[in-house]
Amino acid sequence: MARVLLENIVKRFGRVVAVDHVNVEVRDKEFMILLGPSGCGKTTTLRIVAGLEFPDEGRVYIDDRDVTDLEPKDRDVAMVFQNYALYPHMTVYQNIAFPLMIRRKKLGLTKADIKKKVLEVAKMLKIEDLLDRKPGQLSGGQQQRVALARTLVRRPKVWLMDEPLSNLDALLRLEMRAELKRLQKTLGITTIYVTHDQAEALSMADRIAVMNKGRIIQVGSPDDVYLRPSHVFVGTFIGSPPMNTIKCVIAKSNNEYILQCSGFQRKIPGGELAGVRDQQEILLGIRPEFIDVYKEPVPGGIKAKILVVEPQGSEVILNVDINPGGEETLLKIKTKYTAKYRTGETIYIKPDWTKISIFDYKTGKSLA
Amino acid sequence: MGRRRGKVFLKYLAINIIVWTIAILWTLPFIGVAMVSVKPFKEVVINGWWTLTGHYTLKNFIDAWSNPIYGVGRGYTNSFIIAIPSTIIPLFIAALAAYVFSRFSFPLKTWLFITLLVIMSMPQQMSVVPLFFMLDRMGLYDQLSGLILVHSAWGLAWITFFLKNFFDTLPKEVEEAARVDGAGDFHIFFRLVLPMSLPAIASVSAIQFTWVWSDFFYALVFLASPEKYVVTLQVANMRGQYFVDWGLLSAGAIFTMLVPLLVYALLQKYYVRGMVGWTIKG
Amino acid sequence: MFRGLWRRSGKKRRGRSKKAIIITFLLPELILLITFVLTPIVGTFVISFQTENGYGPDNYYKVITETSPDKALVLPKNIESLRPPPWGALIHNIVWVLIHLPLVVFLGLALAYLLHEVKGSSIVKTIIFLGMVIPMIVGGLLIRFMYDGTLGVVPLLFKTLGINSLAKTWTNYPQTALISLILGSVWLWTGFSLTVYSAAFESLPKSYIEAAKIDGASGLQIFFKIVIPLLKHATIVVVVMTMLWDLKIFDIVYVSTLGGPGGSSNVMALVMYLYFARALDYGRSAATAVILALITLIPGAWFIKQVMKSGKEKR
Repeated sequence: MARVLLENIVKRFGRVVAVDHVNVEVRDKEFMILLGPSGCGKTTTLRIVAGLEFPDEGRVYIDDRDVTDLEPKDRDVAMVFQNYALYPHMTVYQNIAFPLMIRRKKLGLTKADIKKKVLEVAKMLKIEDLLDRKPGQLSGGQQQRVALARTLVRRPKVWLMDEPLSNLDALLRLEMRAELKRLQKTLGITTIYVTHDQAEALSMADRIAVMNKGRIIQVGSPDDVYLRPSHVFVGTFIGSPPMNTIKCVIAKSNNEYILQCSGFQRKIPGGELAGVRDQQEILLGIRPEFIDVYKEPVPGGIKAKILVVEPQGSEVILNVDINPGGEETLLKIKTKYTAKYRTGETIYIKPDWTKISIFDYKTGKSLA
Repeated sequence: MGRRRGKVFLKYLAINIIVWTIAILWTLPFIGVAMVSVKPFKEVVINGWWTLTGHYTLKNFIDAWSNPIYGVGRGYTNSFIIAIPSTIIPLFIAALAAYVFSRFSFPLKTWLFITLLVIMSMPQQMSVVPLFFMLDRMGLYDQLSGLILVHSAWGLAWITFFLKNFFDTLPKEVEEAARVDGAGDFHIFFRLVLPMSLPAIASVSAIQFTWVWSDFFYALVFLASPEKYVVTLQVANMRGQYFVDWGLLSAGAIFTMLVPLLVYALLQKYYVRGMVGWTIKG
Repeated sequence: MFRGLWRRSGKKRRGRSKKAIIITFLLPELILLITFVLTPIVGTFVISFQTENGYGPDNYYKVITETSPDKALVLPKNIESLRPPPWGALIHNIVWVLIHLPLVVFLGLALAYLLHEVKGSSIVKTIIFLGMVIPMIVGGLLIRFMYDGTLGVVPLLFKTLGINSLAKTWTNYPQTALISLILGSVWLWTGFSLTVYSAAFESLPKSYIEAAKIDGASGLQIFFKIVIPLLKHATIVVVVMTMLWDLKIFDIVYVSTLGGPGGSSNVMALVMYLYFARALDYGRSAATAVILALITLIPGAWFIKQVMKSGKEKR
């Protein structure tokens, strides 16, 4: 059992605040992914858990032990680095055995014990044939497996990974995603994983912590962050293409709310929007895949003109203007590639109004 | 098309001729000395060294090696006794310091680093007068051990600078990985950083060894008794003021440069990389 | 409340172990440097100002105004009998830089550029680099050999060309001694600039040159407008190191001419040695050393500035 708790972590580099009052709890056996753009503080947060950086404020707990001031070696964590950080002068076997060799006396291991453990983990990662080679002789994918084996050989309490898949080619990356997730679940190791790739995060995580500018914006399951973003940043960072945002004004009368957007108006049920002022400026968020497209006018359909057609194989992304003639209001739509679409064509679109998000225009926070 | 190819070929030919002419000119002194060394000097004076005919002899080499007054044979041992520790000692000490310069920040770091750079540009002459008195007082004047200490200390600056630059290029993640894996500072330095630095260590060893072997000035100033002379002193003494026996001197010169040339031949890659690397980064 | 206390002590503990490492690793170096390098350097300063009656700049005055041919720094006496050279040793050092430096830069750069298109270029490089490998004392002997009236290549060449005035042992005549050593030092030192420039060429991204070609630049334009500016850093290195080498030159001169004849190939380092070992005048010897060190600090300071700048860029 291992639970990681970050309490009010602050880390500054000179004047830059890299991590800004981060609070997050990683549950036992959970696969937690820190997701965010580069420079958002996710790697620094991970390194604070590893003990490679020490926070200026706040505490780090593993289980209920305060490890804030402990050196990495006393924390029982293991970390996979982006460039694998294999020891170039050691063989694969020596690399994997290294964490055990160092603790040999403390753990009371014999050479035979170590060998057994190394072979076991090598088998698990299918690298038994590579044990005599040096890292320089391995392919990227093989190096990756060695790096994983090295971290798993001593069954750490917490498994840390810093963009471990980003140096692999696209196909191998997809393959490794599934394998990493499987490994994590079979071994049941509490895992913190850093990535900037939202697809990777959505496909692997139990929960995702979305970070921006040193802060945690939202923590939740992949469904949560995808369908119910708490902040416009989450909506626009996750998803490909990202969520459409349209600036609108809310007119409030009695218990009715009317969204006034360029190109269309829409009445929405009021119960969901507590605390909204009359004439408040908001951002309406609509995911490109939650919009239906019609060639002919339909009730409740919004007229739109196709500007660009981007075929994606089985799907197509349409870039449309929903306010033709007026101020250009752009929207991306992802839809099945069933009909032929032409640039300049007029179509009618109908968002799925149950899956929209509404954010405050000024703060970006979700209002729904 | 054909004309273009012809022009390109002519240019190629011209460049090759120029470059190889220069290269051959460059080797002439070496060839000349080699020829003179294996011929009786009288014959060389009359016929020139560029003829392949005439007698060949090893007499010059035997005399240059074992002559009781100016033979370089004795100097050889002394040169090795000085050059080997004068390579190992500063290499080890500077490696420790360079690691600290590369990985830690501490007060006065910038100033210490600048001091190293200043030392690197200082002429040896700047230390000689006080060192002479100091060594004398410490009983190290005219001692091989005194020369070893001086060479070691004066090698520190450039070796520290060189190794610091090299350590800077080593991926920090490897050390961090070891830290997370449970290794301490000493372990990381001796078991990871040093083994990973073998190329740089080879460069430093090759160059520092050659430099100490080749040193003339410190030996001239700090060694007094002929039985302590190093090989560079011996070969310089072979040259008479007015009459120069080039046969003997050539053999002596060949003996003297033989060891550096061997080091160069064995470690050429590291030697050249070191020469370029301690001045250029990366 | 206790948490705060723990925290501070934890930080301290980390700091202490870090401090221990820094001190342990730095200490041997500092001890050796202070004893055998820094103290002597300061000592030389002090001695250079010591005179019979207390401290003063007398040594400097005497050293600079000295006119005996074997020790003069600026100008020796009886200038009329020997048309220059000889000048003083300091002037010789400067002449050395003025002739040696451009030749070395040009030769190194040109050869590195040409060697791009030559088969067996690594052999040529190895040959030219040999001058860097052999002991300078041997280099000096080989230079002396090149100019030897009976055996040397240079006099022989002029003999075949019919120029008998130059078909003699160059190092034995005041008019030719200095220039012969300077040219000989080009032979020794070109390997350095060639190697630095070759390495710089290799690290030049080919795409720059290819882009320039597509943009329509000629070979010469590419060389002057693209290649040379990109080699700025290498040039700085070559210039600084060559200047330092020229100013410190000693072995070559000692073994081939001992500064002669008549001081016509004398250099600073040799003057310093002659004061020290022949005249046993330690004050003037130290003063000469300080002057030499101050002059080497001109390229030295430039070098330090470059190093510190590139260090900052990296950070």
